[in-house]
Amino acid sequence: MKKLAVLLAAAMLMAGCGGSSAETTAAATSAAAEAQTTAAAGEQQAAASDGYVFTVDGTTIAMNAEVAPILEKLGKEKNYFESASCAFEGLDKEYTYNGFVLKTYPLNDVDYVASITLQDDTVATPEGIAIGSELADVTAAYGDSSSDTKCEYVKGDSQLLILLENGVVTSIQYVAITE
Amino acid sequence: MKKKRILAIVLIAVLLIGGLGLAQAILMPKYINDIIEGRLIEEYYDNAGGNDVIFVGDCEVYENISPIKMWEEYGITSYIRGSSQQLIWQSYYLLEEMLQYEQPKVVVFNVLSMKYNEPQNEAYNRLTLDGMKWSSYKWDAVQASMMDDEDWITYLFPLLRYHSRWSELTAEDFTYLFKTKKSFHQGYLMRTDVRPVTSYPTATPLADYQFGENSYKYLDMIRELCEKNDIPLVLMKAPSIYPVWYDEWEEQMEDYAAEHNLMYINFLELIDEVGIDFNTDTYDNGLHLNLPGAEKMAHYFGKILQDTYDLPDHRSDPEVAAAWQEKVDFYHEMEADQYRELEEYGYLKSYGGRPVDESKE
Repeated sequence: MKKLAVLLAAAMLMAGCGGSSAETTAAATSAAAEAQTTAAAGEQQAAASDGYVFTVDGTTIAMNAEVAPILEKLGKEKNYFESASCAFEGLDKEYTYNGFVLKTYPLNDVDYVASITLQDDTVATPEGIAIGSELADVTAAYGDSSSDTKCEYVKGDSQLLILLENGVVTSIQYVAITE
Repeated sequence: MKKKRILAIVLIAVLLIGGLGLAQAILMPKYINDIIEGRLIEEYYDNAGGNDVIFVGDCEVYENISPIKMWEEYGITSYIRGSSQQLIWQSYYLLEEMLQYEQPKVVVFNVLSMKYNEPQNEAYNRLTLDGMKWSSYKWDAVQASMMDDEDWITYLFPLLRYHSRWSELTAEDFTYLFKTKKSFHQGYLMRTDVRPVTSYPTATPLADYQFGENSYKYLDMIRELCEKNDIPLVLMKAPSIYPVWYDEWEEQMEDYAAEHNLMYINFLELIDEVGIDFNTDTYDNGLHLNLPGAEKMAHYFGKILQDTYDLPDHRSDPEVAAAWQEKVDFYHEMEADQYRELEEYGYLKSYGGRPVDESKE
């Protein structure tokens, strides 16, 4: 009986044990909100990213960085698209500039950089790779790749994905790592 | 003495179980005003049975087709068992579960989820799985859906997952402790506001356009389940312009449908035929249709389904018609209320809308 009583007490305590724990801080009103938060953890370090960055017209863009100051520097976009995510609050936004597309994700009413896709050879990575570069240029700049059609490199909270066809770069994507 | 001891043990056990059950009921998210999609799956149990058409899939089904309109125009009884980012294995197990409740004449599966070959996100898992009643189907769905850092026991005892919500409880958690709110129309989530398509998303090149083995495995399982139950399976791609539906994906679905002699309809290719106007028929820039858009889809798709599968018109059946009249009344009440809110506030204040000036139009 004593054991049962202890078990009951422990169980009731458990129901409220998160109060002072870090878990409670992380928990939002629902698991959904919590998981969304967790998925985007790491944005606080975005400004001081040690990952791959894209630089255009003197503006450096890191993954998971807060996007507002970046947008201010980049000026008016050529095209804008936004879409709500299913069920969750906030909008995924897409800004198209000359040569590249910047996508964002929302977190607690703030937008962060989710990805950048280079679209033509008017822009290049700081390491000198652009659409049309060759596989040898890519591996010289970023290191060897096990595939000659898809080169993936991870650094800090960013992934650099370079796609090639017939040994020529066709797509360059910076993607934020959020988990 | 021994009797007393047994009685005390039983009493403590009852208190323990009851206390934990109550704590769990309080702490589980109610999804009443926020993320109402979390109630979609559970609401089916009040509407199970008698549906000639069953739709399964993600938001591309539950926000793009109006079953009530399909009833009003064709007398077709249908239900959408959709949920946010419903993954294909979840669709399979939900369908398997539904077949314990009813024997539909057609099953429609929306193919967007073929893009996901692996579990994606606990948040979306919860929206689909927490609402399922306990059964072997739920167990299998949980096993197929869990992320690496998830634990099955938190689905069996959600208290283990939600216990830290105690400091965030609101009046809603107590008001809806033993009841819930009806918000959907045979699984359809109604929105009457308009936010037109003003631009299109760019199609980011993918490293690999091939749908994954796991996706195909469950698509095969859905097809075989339908075959086993002698139910025609229809594949559809809803007319949502976002997320991007790649040509390479389309080709794979066309090939699959042809190989297995299935009807496959890509409504993105039928925008004009259906009559969808993305200036007026979407509430979120083309991700989902609003009510007029969903009714156009019901009008167009309902005719195809009725003509192809000879679905009966149940409007002449007094019992069915009476049951559906209640659903129709609720539908039009909500429709009227939404238009009233639009008139009064300029946006759907109580239905998850947002003021127009908050977005970049």
